[in-house]
Amino acid sequence: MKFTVVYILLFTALFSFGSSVFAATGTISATTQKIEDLKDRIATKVAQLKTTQRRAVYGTVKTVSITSFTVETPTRDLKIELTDDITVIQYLKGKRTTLALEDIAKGDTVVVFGQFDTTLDLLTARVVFIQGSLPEHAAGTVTGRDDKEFTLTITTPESQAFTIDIEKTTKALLWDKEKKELVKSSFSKIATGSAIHVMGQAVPKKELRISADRILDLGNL
Amino acid sequence: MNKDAILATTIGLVLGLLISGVFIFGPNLARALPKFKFPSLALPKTSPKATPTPILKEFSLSITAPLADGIEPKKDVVVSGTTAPEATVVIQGPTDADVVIAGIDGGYAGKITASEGKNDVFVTAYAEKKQTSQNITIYYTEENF
Repeated sequence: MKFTVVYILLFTALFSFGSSVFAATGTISATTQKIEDLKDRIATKVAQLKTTQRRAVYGTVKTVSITSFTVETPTRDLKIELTDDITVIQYLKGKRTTLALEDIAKGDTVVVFGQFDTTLDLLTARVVFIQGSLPEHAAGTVTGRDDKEFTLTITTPESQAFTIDIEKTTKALLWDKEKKELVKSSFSKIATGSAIHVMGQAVPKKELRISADRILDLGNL
Repeated sequence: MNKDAILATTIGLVLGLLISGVFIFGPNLARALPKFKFPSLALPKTSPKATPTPILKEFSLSITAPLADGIEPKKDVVVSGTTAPEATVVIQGPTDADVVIAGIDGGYAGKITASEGKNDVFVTAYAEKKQTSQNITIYYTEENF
């Protein structure tokens, strides 16, 4: 009697185990199929991303035609494909203005945003931003100041001496070491020996001279 | 029933029996085996190693984010990287600047505002009367593409 009960229990256990394996196998095969589908989709997407990627290119417009234009970058010339849905942007008198495609002219300094096809080496433009003059940056130690001319002389670690023109619009900030924050400052507070950072516009026809937009005074570090 | 399922169950059962057998009879079998000794190998004696002179780490600066020549999705850009511990780090963007103190591990992070188009970001670290600089270019547009 005991053996019969044991056999029945064993048989039931084996049968239920086998059934569960069978059921699980069915579920596994369906899940495997889903995983394989997902893998295929990911692989396709990765392949697409590998060939096309969002990219921005900065350079000067070299040639312009109806369907494309060429941008000369510091390293090479890049062909830009034009499409109908391109947005052309430029800041005119401080106002963000949307322009027409025809407004892109030879010699313009532009940043082209678009999809770059690595296999075709072609950038399909989506946004063309006509860039104004980029600000100049100089950092160094104040080695001289002219209170009459409102200029500072700074010497960079590379031993270049820049002349900094202080304008009425120049904003000066001072790094407060104690409070660890930036506070408003002025030309009169900038001392010789201080480390400063200047952002501004290059003065035309004058080398190593910057008309300052912003000065960051770090004091004597 | 699925053939594969039966096969898998059988293999499982056999493996289970084998493992159980090893656990039950293994220790007794191991004791019954003749004792085996590994031959001892004499390695040539090495001369004491010279203590290397500690090399002083150079004052370095790296920018880990954002990626150079990348297109930033937002106007507010977090610039981060590593430099000397507790160095004063100046992050200069085209429209504003941030000054931060690097952590004990040398990590720093500051925020600048990007302007539309090309943005040159200058990072300078100051520590122990020394300074070092790095710069990267990033791009930003308000347009979605």
